[in-house]
Amino acid sequence: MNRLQQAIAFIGIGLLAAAAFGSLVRRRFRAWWFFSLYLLMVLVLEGLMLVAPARFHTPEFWPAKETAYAGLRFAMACEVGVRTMRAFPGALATARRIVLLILAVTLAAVATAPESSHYTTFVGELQPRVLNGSIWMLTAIAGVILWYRLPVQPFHKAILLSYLPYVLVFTILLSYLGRAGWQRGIAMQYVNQLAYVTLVAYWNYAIWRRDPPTGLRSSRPDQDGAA
Amino acid sequence: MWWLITLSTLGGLAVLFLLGRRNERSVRRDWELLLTPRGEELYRSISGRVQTQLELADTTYDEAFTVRQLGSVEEAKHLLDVGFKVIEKFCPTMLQLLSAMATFSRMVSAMTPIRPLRPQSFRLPQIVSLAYVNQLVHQFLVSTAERFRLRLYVLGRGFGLATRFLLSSTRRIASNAPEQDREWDQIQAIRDDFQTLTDESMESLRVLLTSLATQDRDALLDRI
Repeated sequence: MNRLQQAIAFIGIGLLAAAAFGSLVRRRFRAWWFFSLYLLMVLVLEGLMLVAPARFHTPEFWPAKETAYAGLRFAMACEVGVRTMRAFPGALATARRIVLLILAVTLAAVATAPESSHYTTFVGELQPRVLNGSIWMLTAIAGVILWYRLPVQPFHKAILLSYLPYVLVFTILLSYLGRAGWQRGIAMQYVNQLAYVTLVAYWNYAIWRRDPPTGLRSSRPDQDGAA
Repeated sequence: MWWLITLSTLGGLAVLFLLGRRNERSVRRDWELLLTPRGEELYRSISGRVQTQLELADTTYDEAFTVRQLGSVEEAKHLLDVGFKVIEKFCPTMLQLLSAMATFSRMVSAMTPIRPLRPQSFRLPQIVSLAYVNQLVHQFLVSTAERFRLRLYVLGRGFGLATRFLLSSTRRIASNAPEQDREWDQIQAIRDDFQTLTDESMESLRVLLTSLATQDRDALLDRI
């Protein structure tokens, strides 16, 4: 990592810390547990990579970190789906079927990836397949919300609408880097960093702002989180 | 791998776009409408308005037929034109209502069973065919909600067809095309079909409201 990349990374860490703090102060963790856990985990693990790169910015640590993120990403998608659809049994049943199918297909895609313990195989082959599964999960949940015209919390919507484009960008980037190699893909790394910083800046906005009133009869201070 | 990523990207962006432009206040307002007595009042007023519009069209066409029998062909043509203008305004209202009912039918947890359209109730051959298709496909659909939406779709297509044929017959009469009697008979058949389509649409609305009545609305409102 050069100086500029380090500077961008520090800005990202700062924003992550603000987002994690905001999640606690604004009680957003009550609206979305796994999202708050994801923020915390990214803050800690990316922070470790930044302050002790010799120990943590390694080909062994990176795949483990990304695997943890992938697990949390799936959990985030499942949680937002359950929270949005728990009052609607028809929608929940449909979402459950679709999510199971996506998980099965993703598992199959991962199982059929080229076998190799090499780092570039993880980056270029395995990780894009897992990210693709995340994209499908998030897209499927958003699709069910649209189809059944379900009301969705402003906070959930803001995070979904911002995170999905980033995951798309990250997937494309990773596939490219897996083929071109890290050295040739330096421009793509900058793109990823800047995209992530923009994403986390927006998350700060979504976490710290006052949600617009829902206008529903039963509207009251959100029982799941900040009003 | 790249084709998969491209597919995911396109699908994801499309869904994001639709979700992003959705007006959440409007969605919540719809749910409130659906789950409170206001919804029933609104839909009953829609039913009243629709019937009034159809009665206005009917009165105009009755007048047109009477005037034609009395020999005032030009006056009859003018009344046909007026009648068509009423139908022209009426049809989009019905299509909007059917579309809203289809959307709301997805929001209902359990739909009351509804019978398919009866081909014998219609006179225009094209709408009769649609009703037969409705009856056939109805047997292959599993859930009552899907059958309900199929019925709404067929009704919507029926309104579209009836309006198109009405326009065609009105124009042919206005341009003094041959076989005028056949066009007048067709207009009479289309009028009857409009009434049947409207009655069936109102029946669908009644079924939707009945399904809503069985939902635990207060619990749902609280959980939303």
